[in-house]
Amino acid sequence: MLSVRGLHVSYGEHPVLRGVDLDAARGEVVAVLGPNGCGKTTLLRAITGGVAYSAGEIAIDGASVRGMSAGALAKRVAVVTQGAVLPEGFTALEVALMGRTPHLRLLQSEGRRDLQIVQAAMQRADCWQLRDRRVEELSGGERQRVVISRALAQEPELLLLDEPTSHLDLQHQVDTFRLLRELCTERRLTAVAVVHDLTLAAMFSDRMALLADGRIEATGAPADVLRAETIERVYGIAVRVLAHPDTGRPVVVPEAATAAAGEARRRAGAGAAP
Amino acid sequence: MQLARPRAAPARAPARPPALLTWRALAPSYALALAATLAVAVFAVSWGTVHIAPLTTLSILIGHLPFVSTGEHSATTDAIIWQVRAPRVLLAGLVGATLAYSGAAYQGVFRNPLAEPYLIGVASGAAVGATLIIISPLFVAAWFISPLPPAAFAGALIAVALAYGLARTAGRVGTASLILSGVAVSSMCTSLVTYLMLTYNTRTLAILTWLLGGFNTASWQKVAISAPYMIAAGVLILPFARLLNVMQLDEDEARQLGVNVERIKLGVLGLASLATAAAVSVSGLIGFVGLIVPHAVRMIWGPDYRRLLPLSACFGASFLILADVVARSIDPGYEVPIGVVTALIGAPFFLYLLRRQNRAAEGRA
Amino acid sequence: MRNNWLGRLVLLLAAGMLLAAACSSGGKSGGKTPAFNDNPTTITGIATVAQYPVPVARSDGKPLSIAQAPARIVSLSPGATEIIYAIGAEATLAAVDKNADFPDAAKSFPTKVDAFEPNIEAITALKPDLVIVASDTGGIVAKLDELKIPVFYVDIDKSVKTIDDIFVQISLLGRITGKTEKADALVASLGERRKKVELAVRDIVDSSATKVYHELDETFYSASAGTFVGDIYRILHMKNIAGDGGGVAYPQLTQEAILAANPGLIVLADEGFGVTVDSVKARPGWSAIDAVKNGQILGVDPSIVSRPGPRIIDALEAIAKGAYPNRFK
Repeated sequence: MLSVRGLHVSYGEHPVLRGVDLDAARGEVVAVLGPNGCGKTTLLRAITGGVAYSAGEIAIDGASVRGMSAGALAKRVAVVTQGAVLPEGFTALEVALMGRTPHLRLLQSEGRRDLQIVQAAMQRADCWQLRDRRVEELSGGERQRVVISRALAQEPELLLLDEPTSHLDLQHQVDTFRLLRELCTERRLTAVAVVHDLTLAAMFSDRMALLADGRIEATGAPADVLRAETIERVYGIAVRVLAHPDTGRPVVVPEAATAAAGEARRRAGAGAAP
Repeated sequence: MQLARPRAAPARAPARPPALLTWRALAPSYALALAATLAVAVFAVSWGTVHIAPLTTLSILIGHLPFVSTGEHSATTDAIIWQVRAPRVLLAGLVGATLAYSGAAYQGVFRNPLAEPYLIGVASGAAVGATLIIISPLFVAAWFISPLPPAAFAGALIAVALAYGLARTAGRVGTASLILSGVAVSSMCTSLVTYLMLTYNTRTLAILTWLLGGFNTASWQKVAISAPYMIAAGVLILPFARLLNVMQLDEDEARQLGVNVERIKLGVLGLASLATAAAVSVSGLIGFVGLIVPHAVRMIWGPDYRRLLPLSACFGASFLILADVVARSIDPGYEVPIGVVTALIGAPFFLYLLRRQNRAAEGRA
Repeated sequence: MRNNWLGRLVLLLAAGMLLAAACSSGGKSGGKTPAFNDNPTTITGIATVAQYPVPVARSDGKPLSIAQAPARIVSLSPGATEIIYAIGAEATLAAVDKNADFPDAAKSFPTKVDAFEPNIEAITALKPDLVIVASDTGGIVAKLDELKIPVFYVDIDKSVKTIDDIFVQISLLGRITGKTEKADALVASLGERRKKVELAVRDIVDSSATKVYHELDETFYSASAGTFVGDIYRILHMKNIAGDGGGVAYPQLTQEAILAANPGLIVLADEGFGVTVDSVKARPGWSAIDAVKNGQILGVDPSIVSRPGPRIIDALEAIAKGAYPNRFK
């Protein structure tokens, strides 16, 4: 559904993305990983038209993004960023209703159908009970749910998430990804999420893309991408990749804290890694 | 929140659905606000140093409508009501409304609570235009239409265009750059005015009087030349209200919701600046209104621009009309500078609202 | 959150009362006699020989003593400049202010200084032995005191409030420059002309007093009764609608007050600035005013009526003749 080919992006003289390819099919959750500064956020911004690219093609269902107006794009792509700024004084419902903007004409106000769509979105994201609360009174997790429901209210086909859970506690992290997974399955939504937590990403994504230094280092199923030597090469840190006892999905843990202990472990447990 | 799938909304009796801010839902509030402003205006026209009974006032006002006649009144009373007070009140109302809704618009575009309509050069540009006329031989000739308002108007627009052009890079105008270039242009204009004021010191009082602002010289002619801009801009800005709400999110997020941020900035700032230029050209530089009134309205009625814009207009109109009543009546026969009045009335009121909001916040915390 | 209308109204009224109190208690002008009148010089024309040192009281109360006739006077006061030329002391002038325009010799005087933003260096460079200052802008008086340059500081608003005060200034300058004869003669002749006018109007009683509006600019600034301009109207037995100015020498009147007062005479001191008799007639609503109806609108050259100098009597005569043509055949 989403297809990125040969994307090159530079900030002035400094190249950030050097020929990136990415695919995401309908109903898929694709996790984009990589160390800080490797260009993950830039990739998402290029898709929404927030940053210009010097070469490459980005297409949604075959239609090139370059030619699309911001309004047309907004009807198909919704973005969830981390720590979104929510203006004071507005209620959660009013903020979520802003998600209907791409579907409203200039003089048009939100109508009953818009309210129904937003209500459904907020109920799905479990924040409908917060609808009359002012956003500045909400906790981080609650705000994130409001932002997600705003994105859902756009009725998008593609959902882009930029580290949506980095600032949330474990429960909310898991809840958010679970919600994402369910939405993609039940609504045939496509999600491309930039994630830091490798294990969490592995748990919920269908495919992964590992970005390093502006290039794709590896793509494929989590088990294929998350290999110890790949991670070590890209992140510069020694890890062990284990298998989740129930799902079999990769679980990434850093090697022991000190070098000496690490040595000892390696000598003792040689061959035990998957 | 459990880890399981969230349960469906509990089956209760359907609660009252949340109210949506449609134009139809807002219409009663608009009508009420307009009616209140009109009442203030009529009160203001019947109030003054010279005591004229309210019924007489109404009778004279209605008598000036076409095809209506309400009998004879003394020429002096008629002149006072129709030629002095009525245009004065009307101009004060229009200027107050304009400064207030422009202030709200500026605060919305810049997402900055300290923004106000003079931010990017309207006031100082108008001052340059007016000063150039006052010191020139043009001021000496008696014209049918005074060249002062058009010159001030032109000066204001040139200054804003300059500030906008300087801030524009690669088709985008960052709000921070715009503020900086606006401050730069304003400073240049102000220095020029100061220099001219001191060099042509026989005209200093005339320049200062113009800068200080006021409605003592209000006339139907001034209303006629400025009202079209102030009213048209106000009407044309209102449709942008919902998008101004969305722009409070953050420019990137607004863009991702499909909002053409640059076009909205240009449109809203352009309209607000045009209206403010017209207001300033006929009433001088009256401060405080554009900054404070939107905040007061926001504190009472919330931040939604579909309420904020029209209610600021009505509130600003009433406020400035009442301030003008004070300016011309507090020291009977003599004129008090209206800037002093707006500060003296507005500041305590604003402090009261601020304290009320802080107490509410404490209660919540 | 419903708005508290009562609270707002109370605050509005409170602010209004505060403002009224502040305005009405602002320094009201004192009685009719000018404070600056303890100089023993007579103004009846008895010639006196120039006596030095001449003690002079300044508007700020600091003492000044002129030890000998000054030879290099810098005049920052157009009024004083005119007086100096009128008493024949122009040879002592080292510089006049930029706005001096009478007589022609003053207008074309080679050395001019800015009276509005006085440049202390420029003034000092002229090596003056007396500087005449009419308004203390930019703290020039204090700076000159520091440099020990004698300053004849007479604040017009505070110390020159009647035509008599102007005569006192003439005599003083006469004594200071040693031109006492000419000064006394000038005062005498001006006094004569004033007396003539007073005689011609002596029978006008208060009840039939003409109401007059003296306009200083098109935003309705006027001159109150406590100014030398207001003194003209007192002499002419006219009622100045600006009254006591609410404590301000040159107040701004509201248009409504002008219309309500319905003056029988309008004197325009701003004719040089785009205001004409016709433009006044064309002002909306002003056709109801008696002065406009009867064509009683006079234009007066601002430089004679707004300047405290010998030509104030010219202004007096012009206004008197214009207002009462029958009395001055």
